[in-house]
Amino acid sequence: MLSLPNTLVTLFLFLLSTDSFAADLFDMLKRMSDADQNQNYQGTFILRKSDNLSTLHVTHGVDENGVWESLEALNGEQRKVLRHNNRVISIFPDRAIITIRHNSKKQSLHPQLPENIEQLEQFYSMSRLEDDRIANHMSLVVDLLPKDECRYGYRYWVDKNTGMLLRCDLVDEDKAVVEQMMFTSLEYLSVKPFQAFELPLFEQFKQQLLQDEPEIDVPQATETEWKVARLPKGFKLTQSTMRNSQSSAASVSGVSAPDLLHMVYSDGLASVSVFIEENQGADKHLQGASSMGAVNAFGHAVEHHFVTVVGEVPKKTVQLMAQSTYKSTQAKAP
Amino acid sequence: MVMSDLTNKRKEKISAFLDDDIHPDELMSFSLSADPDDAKVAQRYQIMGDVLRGEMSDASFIDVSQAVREALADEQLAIDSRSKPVTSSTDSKAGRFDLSAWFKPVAGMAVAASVAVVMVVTLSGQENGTHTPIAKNIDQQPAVQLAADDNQEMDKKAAELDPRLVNQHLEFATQDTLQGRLPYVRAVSYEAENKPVK
Repeated sequence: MLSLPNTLVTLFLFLLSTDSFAADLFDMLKRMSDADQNQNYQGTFILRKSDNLSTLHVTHGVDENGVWESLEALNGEQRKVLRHNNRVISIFPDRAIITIRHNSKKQSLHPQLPENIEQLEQFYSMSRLEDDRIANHMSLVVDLLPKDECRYGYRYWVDKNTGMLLRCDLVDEDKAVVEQMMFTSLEYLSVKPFQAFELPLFEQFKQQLLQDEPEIDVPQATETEWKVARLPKGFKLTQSTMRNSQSSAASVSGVSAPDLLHMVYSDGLASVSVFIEENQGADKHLQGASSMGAVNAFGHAVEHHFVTVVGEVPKKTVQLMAQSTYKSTQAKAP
Repeated sequence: MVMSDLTNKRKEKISAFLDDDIHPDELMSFSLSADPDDAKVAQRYQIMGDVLRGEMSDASFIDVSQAVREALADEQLAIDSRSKPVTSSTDSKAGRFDLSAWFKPVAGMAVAASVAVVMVVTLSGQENGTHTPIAKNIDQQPAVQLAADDNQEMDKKAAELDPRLVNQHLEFATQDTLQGRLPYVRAVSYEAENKPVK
């Protein structure tokens, strides 16, 4: 039988080891998140969103000018997406079209959010499973199971040597996989593979500039004007931006003022967007629920405004958030 | 009549219990007075609620047809007895049920069909890839057209989600999370699926 001092020492060591274990897992997750920015590689992976299975080839490179990446769909219509930092170019060879999108990525309001391991542990149970082999690379396997039904669970397979995410499963409350990404082949390269980013081949294609719209920081008053009454625990406002809604962007040839409030909430793993715009009528907005793999959406009218919530969280979460979004000057929505 | 009123009150209590709306003070007495019939009613209400909330699994579908039948019978809807399914509940549980009898044009069919439509739309609207047999089964029935139309309506509704909102979410909202490259892959695959018009 253990004496009291021995019991305390045992308890202390247990707590220490538990903390250390969680911290190690969290460090691994951070390493995984950074790995993609620092590696040259090419490989093939599958992406499964519910019933939809895609195979894509990826070539990724890093140099002094930033990150380059080429993603090519290997099934269905030919399509290729090139990315250089925030510029995304989609190529549709069959249609001789390329689309160009330039994202002026904003800084998060809480850039330190992923460092809050204590916060993450409040809402996910973290555990390490038996090592596995993915695309011939040994990987650590980590489970993050949600402690409530407001978010999905994650299972990560991470390359033991590089920290690269080799496989990821998103599972719902019934343990069903709602989204899955897995490398089937992966080769690390010593230098950036330039040949994958040859844009002149497509310069004769018709070009469409998809998004070069203004976005402005939300004035403090507006930011605090809209609230989500029933926000799942752990979700914090990480971004708040005004953008152009589709209607205003389409209807005015000149410059129009951004009229779409975009608020982003995240618990560090899952993120949810709350879009608020003027209500254009029932037939102009998503009414109710919509689902695309792991991403769910729910639209809900709030008097003269329309709230659309989009996120890779369960359907009930987007519905709960949409139906409880209200303007703080008004009475709370039910 | 008195008995009927009592039964209805009891059903209201059960419904309130399932909805978490029963007052805490009544909870204990309600639980203590429960009898086997309450459990049957509760189970049926639970299944019906699940269907209406879209939380049904395929495995429960067979039970749903049974639940619909029992619920309708229980509520004394004017359904001609000739319209009852010829299969027994045992057969239903074995997965060899035949819904055709439910969709015969008899009194009360509107109610049955509306419940069936909810089932079909709800189940078809889910995306876990195991619903084909159900759709196929129901496809053989007269009510299918109704269900299919409603399903198209749902697809239309889904299509009304502005792709720009999804793009903006995928591109701006998820990039700071601990998900490695997954958010980006998600974003570009979504963009690729939403092809530009010529």
